Amino acid sequence: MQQLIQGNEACALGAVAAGCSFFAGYPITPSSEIMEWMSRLLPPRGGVFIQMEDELSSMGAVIGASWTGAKAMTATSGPGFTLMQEHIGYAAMTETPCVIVDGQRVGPSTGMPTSPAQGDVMQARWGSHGDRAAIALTASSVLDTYTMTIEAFNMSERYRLPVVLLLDATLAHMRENVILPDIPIVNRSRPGSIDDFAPFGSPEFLPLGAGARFTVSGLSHDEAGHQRAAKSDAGERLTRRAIERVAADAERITLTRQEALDDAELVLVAYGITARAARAAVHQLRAEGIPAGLLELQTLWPFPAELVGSVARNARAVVVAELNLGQVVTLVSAVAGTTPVHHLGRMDGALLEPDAIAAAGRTALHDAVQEVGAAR
Amino acid sequence: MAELNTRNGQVVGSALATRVQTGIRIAGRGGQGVMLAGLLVAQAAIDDGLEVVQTQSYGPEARLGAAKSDVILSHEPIAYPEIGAPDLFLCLSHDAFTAYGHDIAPNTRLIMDARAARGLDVGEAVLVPMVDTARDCGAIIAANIVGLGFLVGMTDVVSERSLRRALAARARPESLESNMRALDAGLALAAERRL
Amino acid sequence: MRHGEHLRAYLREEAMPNVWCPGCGHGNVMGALTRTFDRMQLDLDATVVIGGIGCASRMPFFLNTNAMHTTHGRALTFATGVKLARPELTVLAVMGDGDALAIGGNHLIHACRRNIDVTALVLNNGIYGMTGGQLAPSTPQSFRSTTSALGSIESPFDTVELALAAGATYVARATTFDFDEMPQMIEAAIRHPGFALVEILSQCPTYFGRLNKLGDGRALLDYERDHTAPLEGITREELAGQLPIGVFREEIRPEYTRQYAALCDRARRAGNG
Ligand SMILES: Cc1ncc(C[n+]2csc(CCOP(=O)(O)OP(=O)(O)O)c2C)c(N)n1
Ligand code: SF4
Ligand SMILES: [Mg+2]
Repeated sequence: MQQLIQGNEACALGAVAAGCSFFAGYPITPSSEIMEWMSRLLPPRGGVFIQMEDELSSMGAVIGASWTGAKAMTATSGPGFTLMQEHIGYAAMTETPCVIVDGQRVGPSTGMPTSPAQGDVMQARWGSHGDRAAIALTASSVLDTYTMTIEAFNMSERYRLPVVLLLDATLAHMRENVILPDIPIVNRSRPGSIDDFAPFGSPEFLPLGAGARFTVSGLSHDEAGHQRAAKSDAGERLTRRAIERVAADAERITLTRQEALDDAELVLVAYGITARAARAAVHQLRAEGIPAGLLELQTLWPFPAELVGSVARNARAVVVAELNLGQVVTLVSAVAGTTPVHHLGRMDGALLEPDAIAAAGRTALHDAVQEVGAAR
Repeated sequence: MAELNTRNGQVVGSALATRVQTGIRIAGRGGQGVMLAGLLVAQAAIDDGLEVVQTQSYGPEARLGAAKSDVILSHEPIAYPEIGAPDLFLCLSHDAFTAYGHDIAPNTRLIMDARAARGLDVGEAVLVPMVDTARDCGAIIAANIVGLGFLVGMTDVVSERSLRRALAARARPESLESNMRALDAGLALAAERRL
Repeated sequence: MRHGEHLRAYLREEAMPNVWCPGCGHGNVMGALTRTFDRMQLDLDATVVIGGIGCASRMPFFLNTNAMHTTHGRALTFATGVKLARPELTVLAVMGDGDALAIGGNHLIHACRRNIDVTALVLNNGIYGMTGGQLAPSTPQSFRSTTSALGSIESPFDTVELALAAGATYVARATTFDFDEMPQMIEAAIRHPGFALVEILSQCPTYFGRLNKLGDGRALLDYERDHTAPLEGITREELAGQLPIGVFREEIRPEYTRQYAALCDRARRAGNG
């Protein structure tokens, strides 16, 4: 059935479909509707909803709930996402499955609360101190928001990681007609036996209160959970293992949409809401006879460096369009070889428009052709 | 979309030169039911088998003064979610025109409440007594529905049947009758003027 | 078996030795906890002890329960998540004074306000032990720390008054000197169906004692004895600068997880969502 629903509503519906039974959050534009929906959806299903006193506590409660075995999430925006970083790091250190939705708005600081941005890409990866495994996803439509919320849960359960879903203020609030699909759900796998089970470093998860008593700690620890807080490779070993778990499955994790890339001389790279304008720009350029293509990144972390690199190196020019002053472009540039990579960004609260992206693409391709001509 | 196969003047139009899509802006004072009107058009369009994107003003902007709801209707998937210059602009208040009139392009068709337009340079706007008609229907608050009726009666952007169904589904039971009267009145005003 | 040897069952031997200095009061509190667990015959599999960060908050490592050692000041937020998701578990939060009153002060008052069935133990040694003896929000006025060498000019929090004002339904204060009374209060707090807070004045000989020239752990126990007085039968005037010890409030108010369960029932019956 076709339904007219908002991005934030789709996120909440996706969470419930994914089996989320615990939500803790603190109101913030543009994500508050997610918690409003969860406050209505969870109680009749026996799930827990709680409005906490801030984002630190929201994330703490989410992690606590996850350690009882619950699928747990929170939703926030820039200022709250920043406050959550200490606990996102804790979740990574303790291999805690959970989902954090960040409806991005213009920053830094309070910025523009109701205006879209894509400035939290690096924070989603490096916001917490130290190194860690990370997964961050994006969505570019209301339907996408539903499916990527479920993906976020599935990945967090499969890899025992905090997974970040990056939305933006426009997507959060816009409505589209959607038919919600059935999507397979991943459930946390439990060890067959608790005897000799090491609670850390394993994809299997043993909740608190299941008969094996151990300590969950943000201190570096070994597989059994014993602190190894000084001069020990235990912490590094477990972090590496988590990173490798993700790397080994990178193909399954790094989702992309590729459009008209086969013969593309000009490649547009975009994600989230901006991918829509980039798609319109591709249509426009193709109509003019310019061989343009789109690479939409649905997974930003782990960054699909190999794919982006090969697509970029096969092109004559690349334009990265994003609502910030240059984040994903640094990653694309690093793998593009000799192909020139241009950046089109803004953070004034407006979306990048198809015309602007098309114009940047035209110029980029033109310059690249000229340069080759000059070199000859 | 019989009559209005217009293309959007700027961004979207050029980006989707080969497509048929219509951008509708509904704007008014906070409390005039602008959001509801946008949702009704969007819901009706879905029933008609169209693709829809709806966005609206948020925060303090939406609570005080003017508010707007933008709806894009299309026969094909909608890429860019903003309407740029609207093809149709249904404006219920003076303030809303001041706040959101700047996006108007030469081919924007402006439908404006007659009273609200007083003292404004609204060009070739179609002036409709939405508020007065709503009052005659016994619900001054239903000016949005009169306007919607007029817009649909004049342009067929969505079918009358789907609009009625959307209204029946979304209106509060106690106000359904007056809303339906307002819708009929809006449609009748359009019939009088239809070219 | 020697006297008290059976209490070893409540300790996690493989995590020993613990991190505390000789004479540190946090060990006295852990000892009291083992005696309390034993007396209550608590099901350790259904018990979760959650600490923040600090010397006091290390305790979860050494107790043979389910345990979380979390982040500085936030133990109660994790405890809230655990308790709400699995109300049948017994949940304790062990915190230092910096943990509970400074960085975690906001979480403390909100946990009190919600009246969630968690037992909070605030081990107040008047100083930041773990980071080397800095000023705490509980350091008495004019007392020295490594960041108040000339004496503190700040007014300390009264943990008990704070918890009472914030709405905790069981509030008590003990000291590590009170060998018998402290476990009794902890037991009452665990049994209490609501948010229960026990402030335990604990000694930090390494910093609080040394910087304020109050002597070693033993001397500090005497200091605790001399600067506190039982609450019962004494007026404010008679206290004369001594801190009252005892149970300040024990009352039954609707508990959060039970209210939440009732709300779920209502939502289910209303068939909404
Ligand atoms: C966010 C953060 N800030 C600061 C610290 C450093 N830190 C660790 S323990 C502590 C204070 C401990 O004092 P208290 O809570 O009184 O416990 P005690 O060690 O005295 O038992 C501080 C400031 C930290 N771990 N995390
Ligand atoms: S520093 Fe103080 S509080 Fe910390 S272990 Fe030593 S004596 Fe105890
Ligand atoms: Mg202390």
